[in-house]
Amino acid sequence: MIAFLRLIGLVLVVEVIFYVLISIYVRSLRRESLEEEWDRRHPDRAGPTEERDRFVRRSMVGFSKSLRARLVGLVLVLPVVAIVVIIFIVNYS
Amino acid sequence: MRWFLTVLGVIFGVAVFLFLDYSLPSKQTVRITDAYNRLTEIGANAIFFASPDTGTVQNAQGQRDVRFINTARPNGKPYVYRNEDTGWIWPPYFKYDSSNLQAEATDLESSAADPQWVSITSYGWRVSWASIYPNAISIKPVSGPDERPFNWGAQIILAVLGAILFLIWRMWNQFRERTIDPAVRSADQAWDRLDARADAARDHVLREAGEARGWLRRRWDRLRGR
Repeated sequence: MIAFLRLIGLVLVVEVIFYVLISIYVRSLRRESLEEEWDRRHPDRAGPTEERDRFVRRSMVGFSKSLRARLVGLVLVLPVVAIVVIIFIVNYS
Repeated sequence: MRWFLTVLGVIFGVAVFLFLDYSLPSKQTVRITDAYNRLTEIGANAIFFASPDTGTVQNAQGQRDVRFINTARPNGKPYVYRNEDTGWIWPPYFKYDSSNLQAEATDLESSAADPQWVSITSYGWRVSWASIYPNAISIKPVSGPDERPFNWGAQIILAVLGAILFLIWRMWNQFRERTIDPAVRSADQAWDRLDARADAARDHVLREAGEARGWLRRRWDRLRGR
């Protein structure tokens, strides 16, 4: 029983670490594409300016509710599914 | 220094290979000749057996009752598996049906005269001088000694590991491009500004000193009546 709880704890810790890292990564990708979008729309005002920062900040509002940000939550689900599948294959087939 | 890093890299690569070779599942077509359990001395080779908290029974002398499966390979040479639960952490097979597996193995025992070939999935190595046995995971009857089912498990695990490595590599690149490089650039700029200010200060001091010297010389000249 203790071993099983240890497994749950370990999987949870690893999942949370990856969840945090991947959500930072996804946000960073989105910000980068927004900056490129700004540069494409305003070739005369390209580059890191106050104005572009404001545009990026405004566009990132509500990003955490988008599909892509929510898909990161799969990181919390897929390892558990994989473990259940392994248990099934090893012990019941 | 370069050769040192090369040696370190080679050692690391070999370690990763051995680690994967030990813990990934492998399949082998064999014929089961016996399935039994016996008291086994567990000593320095303990890490190649199940960890103590997986329902193993160990007596005061450090002996354990371990199930074994004796087999013969198509080339006639023997191969011996152990059959132990793996527990919940490592290696992550989550196997707790060794009793059932032993029953299956007993059921599929056969003689050389009337062979019943099976494909046994297992992980681990057989090292006879150190009494190390691979752990059998599953047994499946096959039609003959030449039938070798494809090892899907190992391929899928390797593909997933590769995908995770690729993701980590992409994440690291993004982090370097958007966080480390700009920080280094701004630190460089700050250093340049500091440098320029130091230059300006030195110029200022030199100019002041020069002016002071000129003033002194003029006073001196005047004193000498020129």
